Amino acid sequence: MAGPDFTVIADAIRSAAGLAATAGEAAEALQLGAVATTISGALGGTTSAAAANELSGAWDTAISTWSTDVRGHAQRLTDSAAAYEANEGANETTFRSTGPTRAV
Amino acid sequence: MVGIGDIRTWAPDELDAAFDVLGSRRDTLIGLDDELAGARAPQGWTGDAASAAAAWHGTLSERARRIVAGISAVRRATGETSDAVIAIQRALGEAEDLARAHGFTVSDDGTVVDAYPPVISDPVQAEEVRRERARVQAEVVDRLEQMLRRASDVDADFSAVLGRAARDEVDDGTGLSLSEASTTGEGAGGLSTLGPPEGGTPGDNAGWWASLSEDERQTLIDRDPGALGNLDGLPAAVRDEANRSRVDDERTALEAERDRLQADLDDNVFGGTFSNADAALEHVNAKLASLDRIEQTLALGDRQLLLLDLTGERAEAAVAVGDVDTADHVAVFTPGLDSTVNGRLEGYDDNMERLRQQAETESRRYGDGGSVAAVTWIGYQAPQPGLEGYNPFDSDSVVQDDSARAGGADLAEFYRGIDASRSSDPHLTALGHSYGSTTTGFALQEDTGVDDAVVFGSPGLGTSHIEDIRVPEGHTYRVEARNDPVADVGAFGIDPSHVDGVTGLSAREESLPDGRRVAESTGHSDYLTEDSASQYNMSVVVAGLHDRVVTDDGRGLGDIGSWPIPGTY
Repeated sequence: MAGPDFTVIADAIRSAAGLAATAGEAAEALQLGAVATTISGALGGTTSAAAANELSGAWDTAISTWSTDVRGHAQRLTDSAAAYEANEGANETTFRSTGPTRAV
Repeated sequence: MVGIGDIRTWAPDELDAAFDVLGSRRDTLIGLDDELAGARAPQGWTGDAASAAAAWHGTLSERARRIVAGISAVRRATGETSDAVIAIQRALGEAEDLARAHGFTVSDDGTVVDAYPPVISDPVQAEEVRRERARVQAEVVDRLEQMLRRASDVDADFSAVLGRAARDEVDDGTGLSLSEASTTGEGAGGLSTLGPPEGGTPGDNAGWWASLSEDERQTLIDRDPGALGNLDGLPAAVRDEANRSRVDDERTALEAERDRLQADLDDNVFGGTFSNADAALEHVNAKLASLDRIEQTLALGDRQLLLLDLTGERAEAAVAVGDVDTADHVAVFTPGLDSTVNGRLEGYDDNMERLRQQAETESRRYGDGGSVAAVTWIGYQAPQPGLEGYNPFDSDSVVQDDSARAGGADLAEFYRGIDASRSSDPHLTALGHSYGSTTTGFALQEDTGVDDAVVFGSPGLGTSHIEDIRVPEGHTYRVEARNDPVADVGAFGIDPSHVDGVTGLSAREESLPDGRRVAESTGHSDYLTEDSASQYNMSVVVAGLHDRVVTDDGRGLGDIGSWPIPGTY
């Protein structure tokens, strides 16, 4: 056995955190609002142009918020992994020090 | 409200660029599917923190799916809007070209300005030009109206998609992956296809058709050919494709109706004595026979089915030999009494094929070598022989002009539709025989774009005055053969032989200037006989070779009897 189960789970949580961070960073670079602005500029005098402007702001907000939230999620996972590891490690130490006498 | 000045500035290439970028952005997000799936709380992790992480991951995933769905919807709508804008600007360009060719300009506010009115001293010619320009101006206005209707429709559809995306209202479906959300979102991004204008003029129809993208056009042809085939102003090739695709369905419907009527008659001991089932069955069978004749005619090749209407008592159809979309010269022949699709189409089509060949031969010899298309137009309920046909109190009678008036209105639209359907007007000749010449005469009392008219065996033009016939001065002809009593009756206006300004063409045996001889045709029904003077004369008029006609006043004893008393007409 490579090590206690709690270490495996903590590593899995850290891995999930890493993937979430990657997703958040990738999304932040999308600049969706600029595309909607291009659409708006291509259709002068239309209600579509106004709607595209509105969409530009909405998309920028949505992407920015999502990216922030995903990275926040990543950070919380990282924190959880550390807490989990510390907590489970302490439990194991306690368990070993107070556990039943080894049979002779 | 979208304006023409706005449309001129629209940039479909920028929409195309946005479409491409949105595709790239969508792909980037879909590429995060694995990361997002891997970011969920791992198995084996339990407790409050694990539960909270799992819930929050679910929320973030759903938000990502909705963003992707929105992008895909907007992307599709952007692409379709780009196609539509290209079509709308093309439609605007066509209207502007038509306006420019006749001295008009189209301003940013949509006004059609008479920028270069011609100065013509001859009052008759000036009036003709004024009417022709008024017709063209009306067509330009109709085209612009339809183009704007289409533009507004596209704008409304596109802005609705953009608005839903902005409000995060694009449904992402029930799938868990970003890829599935993209597919669902794309389905919500389609623009509607605008239908044809209700009761539109040929200019309206042409403007509407011009404003559709190629994909939309093909979709309409495939899904709703019945809405297109008889629309004056649409290209002949489109009408032909749409009408041909309807034949099988129409036949199936008629066969079902035939079987139903037959079953009714079989079940009724009195047969059709107390119902109209027997007469209705006769009409249905005639329509089925009409479809047979149409298919047989089309099978000859180089034909276009420009009209197919089975809603009336008798089938109506128009078949062209040649290509009406591209021919330099187009002739439209309207027959008269006893004209039915099932009984007469094949014979008339053969007449038109031979006339077309003759006209092209003459054009090659003495003219511009232009191509010719000739249409047999049975687009009205022509009077029929029998009690009704000769009953002076029946509106469908050959002695009443009701059928000719109604048919003339439709025929005028058909003429205008030919010009409206093309980027350049062909040289257009109206041919009318017998009662069909009266129908033609009524049609030509409107502004139609017809350049030449030939009536033969005519009982009248529906008027006694050449000023009512809106064909350029000196371009209305008549042919009267010996022993054709119909040509002398003057039932609908005075005998055309006595209408000043109508040029008589010979139906006698003649020697042509180049030494050829053409035969005489006699009676009421041989005007289109091959190698006759009558057919020759029609062929050179159709080919625009006015200086090669052989004139003859064609007057005989019957014309003495039909001589109108001055002051009575």
